[in-house]
This record gives sequence, structure tokens and C-alpha cells, in this order.
Amino acid sequence: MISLFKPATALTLPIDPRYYQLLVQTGLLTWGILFLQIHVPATHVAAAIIAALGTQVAFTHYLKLPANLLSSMNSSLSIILLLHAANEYWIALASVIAISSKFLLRYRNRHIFNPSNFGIVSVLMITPSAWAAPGQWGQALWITLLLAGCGLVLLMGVSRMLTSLSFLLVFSGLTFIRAAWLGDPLSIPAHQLQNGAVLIFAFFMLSDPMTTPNTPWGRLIFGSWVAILSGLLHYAFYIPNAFLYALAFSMPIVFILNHYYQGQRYHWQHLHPRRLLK
Amino acid sequence: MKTTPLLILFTVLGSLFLTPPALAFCGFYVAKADTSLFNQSSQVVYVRDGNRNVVTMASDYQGDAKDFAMIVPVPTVLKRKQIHITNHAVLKHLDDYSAPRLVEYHDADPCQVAMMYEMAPAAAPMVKRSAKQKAKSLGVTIEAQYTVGEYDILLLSAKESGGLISWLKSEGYKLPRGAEPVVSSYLKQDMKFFVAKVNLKKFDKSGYTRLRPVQIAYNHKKFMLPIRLGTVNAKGKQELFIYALTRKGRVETTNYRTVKLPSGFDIPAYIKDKKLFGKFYKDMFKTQVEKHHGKAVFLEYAWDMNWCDPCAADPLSNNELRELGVFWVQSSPAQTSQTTRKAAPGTILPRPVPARPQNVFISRLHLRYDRNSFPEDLMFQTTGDNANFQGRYVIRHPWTGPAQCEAGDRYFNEELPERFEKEARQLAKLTNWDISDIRKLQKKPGHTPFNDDPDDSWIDSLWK
Repeated sequence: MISLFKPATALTLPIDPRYYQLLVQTGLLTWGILFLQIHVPATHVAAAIIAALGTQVAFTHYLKLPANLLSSMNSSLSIILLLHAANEYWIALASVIAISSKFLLRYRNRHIFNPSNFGIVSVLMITPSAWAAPGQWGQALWITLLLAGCGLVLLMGVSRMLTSLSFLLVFSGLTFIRAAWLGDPLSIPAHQLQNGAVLIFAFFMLSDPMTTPNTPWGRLIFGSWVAILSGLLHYAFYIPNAFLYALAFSMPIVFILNHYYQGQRYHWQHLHPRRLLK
Repeated sequence: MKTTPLLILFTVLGSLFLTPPALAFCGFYVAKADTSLFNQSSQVVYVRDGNRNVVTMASDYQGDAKDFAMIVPVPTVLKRKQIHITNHAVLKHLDDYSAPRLVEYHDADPCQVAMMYEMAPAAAPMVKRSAKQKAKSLGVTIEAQYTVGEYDILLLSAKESGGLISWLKSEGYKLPRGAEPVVSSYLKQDMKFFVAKVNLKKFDKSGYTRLRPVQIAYNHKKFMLPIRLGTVNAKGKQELFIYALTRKGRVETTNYRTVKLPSGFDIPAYIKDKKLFGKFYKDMFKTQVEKHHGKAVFLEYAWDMNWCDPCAADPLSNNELRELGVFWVQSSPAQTSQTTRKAAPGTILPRPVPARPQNVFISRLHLRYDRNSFPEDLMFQTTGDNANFQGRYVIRHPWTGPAQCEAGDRYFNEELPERFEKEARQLAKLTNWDISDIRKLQKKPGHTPFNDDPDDSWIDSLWK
């Protein structure tokens, strides 16, 4: 356990994990469109990216900050992968809300919400014309997603990924315990956990180091809490996409955890993939 | 009395049926492929709005009425007014309206300049006191009992599954081996059991030859269909059709992939001539199930129920929709047409004139399932997607008149052979039929210049 809490850099490779994330997200989108019949109109892709980058450029220009477009690309792709809407305006709105929240909703000099999560949840709550489709990834991709997630763990370090890992561990535990209590065959909890949407959420949304607690203990507690709330909303209140809501409504807890467990804030390494080739 | 429970299984058997042609905006609707093609199939109409649910469960049970029983887990104890019996006709109409359809076009004279394909009662005491006492001793509570139509209905709750199963068995219900853990799981999820069997006196008096669909209406957050009991000892895969009706928006499963049935393809004309559309639909569905490794739910139709284009059957009337549980539409006493219009062969039926916006959106979902491919119950959500989708297949009849011009030569020598080949390949890919059989059956136009060389049959199978 103690070895997990080494500084994040101990296990990292010299590349900004956001490039890796972008690669996985693009791969997933392509796979989903080509082989899983996920309907993602080109206009939605364009709307999400243009709105996210535009909002980012507008805010950074106004605040005289470096543009830092990479995070915005990650956010827009998260939105494309998880959010569907009757028209592209809702997708663009999700992107605008996501990026704006980074600049407008701040506390103690850090943004409160996970940007793409906040954008998606806001739009889901504003309009019935938008929906997330947790079933669309099916169950066949789980090994690929698990491997892709392990890749991110290698890049970010186990310590930084503790939110994702504890979420998966606790959510899996709850699902199996529930199944054992109900007397359900193992195929049922396995089917529930192999859902691609859960793994994409855990590895590629929940892992955001900018909005998760600063310390390993904080991240461990936070990931576990999000898992418990997700399980409660999903199994007791029958809310689809419970994990998205669970994360959005849990964000204030990060500040409480940071208050009790003070640690170093994360900073992106800004390392270009070309570094790997040198 | 021996009663064999039919666990949430409603078998729809019948024969393929073709209706006379009806006019459609793009092409003539010529045939549909309804649910009667599939053996071991059930039909469920699920009306959902907010937390309000109306579920119609239809059975075309073919056996002796005395042997019929069904057990359905329900989230709440239902009052008498929450149970209703409806008729098959309205479900048949819904099936016809939403079924995959075949449309046809006729090629225009290739020598003409422009050719456009696409323009643009009181509860009856049923259970004896001794049975009630026995139930109590086994930890089973008979929450309610009613006779509704030809059915005797019980709402049961229980402390534990063993007691419930013992009681059901003692009452003559045969439960499949392996049902107990599933029953136990539902009980722990605070579900009750809706048990219906046929009241033979009422059934004989009613004069009905078939058992009618049972409807239940209740408030609950859960938007799901319990399918697990039906898979306990089912032989082979079962077929389920779900017609989800919402105010607006398509319904999809949240724990399984929902994919669209391939649609909009041109297929050879002999599919209509030889009345093979039903077989086409069955085999295409089978191919799609295999392609998705048996783990997908298929969307066959998604449409605003105010209209259709082309229409396999007229949209349902407000009265029919209300009968199915669409509580938000107003019944209209003036409506006379409750049945599908049928046009005489060769005549043209105008498109239906929508009465007024009904705010009813239908999603027709179709799945082939067993315990391995669908281990969990089906969970649903209503999406904001109100884009229309239909399973629609097109046949294009070649021009058979004279065409003495350059465009005519090109049409017969190049375009038609290419089109025939493309249609054959498309059909083979969709249905997994042998392409050489398809090619043999394709009707060549009388004076088409692509003559069959008896010596080139080996080429047919070379690159297939």
C-alpha cells in the first residue's frame, strides 16, 4: 500500500498524458463509429471541438494566459464520446459550459468541477433533448478499455490514478456484493462491470488530476465515495448514467479532502510526444 | 388442476401475410414482415412517461387454455383498476404499422430526360381459505386477487423464495428447475409477483378463441422489463418485440447495445414476386444477431406516431393508443376507423391525414435472447432522439419497354447488369444466402442484352 503513495513522477514516462488520452479517445470514437454503429454526426464533433477551443481561446486571451488547447481537446472528446443530443447546439453548449466552468467556477484558485463532466451533466439537466448512452459501448470492449486504462496508469503513476482505481475497486466490490446478496449468478455483475461506459468514465474522466484531491489518501477516499454514490443512485434510485451525476455532485468534497489532506497540486508536464522519439 | 406456467413468454405464431399495395410518398409499399414470422416470440407494449408505466403483455399461446399461466415480477402490488385486458387487434395494428417494409419503384423510360427515384368488476374470491392459510404458513402473502376478463389474477409477496415456490407448486403451478434463485433475487429487490391463469368458465363464456393481452399500469421509477424468469429453462433463444411509446423520443436499452437494423437497401425484385420478404426479414435478422454476437437489441422502427411514410398500416387512432395505455392522448368518439385501411389491388390509397399532433413516439425494439447473451433484465431510458427510422427495403423494377437510344443501350448493357449484381451482393450480405442462388433467381428483363453464357457458371462462385 505504501509503495502506491510514492510521488506521482516515480512511474511516469516523459510524455504529457493528455496526448495519450487524446489518442485513446480518438481511437474509441473511430471504433465506435465503424464497428459499434454509434451515431456521431460530423456536425456534433465539429460543434464540440470548435466550441471548446473557441471558449478556451476567448478566456485565455482575455486573461492573458497561455492558450493550453490540449486539455480542451480532451474535454471536447469526452463530451463527444459520452453525450448525444437531438442537435449540435446542445453539444456545443456542453463544451462551452465545460470550458467556462474552468475559469468561472473557481475556489481557492482551482476550478471546482471536472470540466467535461460538468458540461455533460449540466446539459442533461437542462434539456430532455440530450442524453448519455451508457449501453452504446456494449460489453465486448472491456479488456481493451482496461488495457488502455493501464496505459494511463503507467503514464500518470498509480498514485495520481488512485481516484480511478479506488472507484473501480469499490464499484466492483459493491456490484459483486449486491449480486451475492441477491443470489444472482456471476454473469450478472460481470455484465454490469464490463459496460464500456463505466470504464471510459473511470479511466478517462474521473482521472483528471486537476480536479481530484491533491493527496493519495484524498484521492482514495474521493474515488471510493464516487463509487458508493454511483452505486446508490444506480441500484437504489434506478438513475441511468448515475456515475456522471455522482461525480458532479461530489466535487465539493474535493475541497474538504484537500483541507484535511494537504498536498502538492498537479501541473501538467507539457511534454510533447516527440520527446519519446528522441 | 395442472397448470403449466408460461413465464413471461408469449408465443406469436401465424403466417406471413401480404396486404394490397398502398400508396406511399417514396415508392409503393408492397409488403411487410410482421412478428408472426418468429416462433417463440413475445410482444410487449411499454408506455412510459415520467414514472408512469403501462405494460401490455401479449400472448398468442397456442395450447390449451387450462394449461396457461404467467408469472411476472412487478414493482408494486396492483389494485384491480391497474389491471386491464385488451384485444389482439390493437397489437396487430401496432405490429403492422411498425413492421419492416418492402417498397417498390418502377424504372422510367431511360430515353426520357429526367428520372427521379425519390420525390423528394368486483374481485372474485378464487383462493380458498385453506390455500390462504397455507400461503401464510409458507411466508407467502396473497396481497390481492381479482378476476379480470378471462384471467384469475393473484398478486403475491413473500418473505423468501422457497416458500413462494412451494406454495405455487402446491397450487398446481409447475415452475422450472432453477427458478428459485431468480424468484429470490426479485423478492430481495422488493418486487411482487403477478400471477395470472385462465378462469375457464369466464373464458368459455367469453367466446374468445385466443387469450387476450394483459395490461398493467403503475407508478414506478424503474424503466425495465424482467426477462430472467423466462430464460431459466427455455429451450433455445426467444424472440421479444418491445413497442415503447413515449411522449417524445426514442427508447434504448442502457445495459445492452441498441443498434439499428440495416435499412434502405435495394434488393432484387424477385423478393416480392416470390413472396420472400418474410424469409428475407427473418434471415437478415438472424445474420444481424450473429454479426453482433447475439448481444444487441435492434431498433426496427422509430417514428412519430402521427404519420408514416411509407405506411405499412395506418397510424393508430387515438382510441387505440389510449387502449394501449397512452394516457396523454384524448380519446375521440368521432373516430370511426379503428382498423387498417386496405386498398384494392391497383388502386391508390391516399396518405392518412393526421388528426392532430399526438405526441406519441414509437420505438420498436427486437431482440433474440437467452440466459447467456442477455443475463440481466432489460433496463431502458428515453432519449431526446426523435429522428425517424424504419426498416425499409427497396425493389426497383427495370424498364421493360422499348428504348432505342444511346441512353437505352447504356441502361440495358451497363447500368442494369451492374445494378443486378449490386442487389445480389447486397442481398447475400444481408441474409447470408448463397449468391449463386440469388443470381439464378434474379429475373432478367425480356430483351436485356446480358445473356447467360452456360459456360460461365464457374465464374459466379469465383469471387463471391
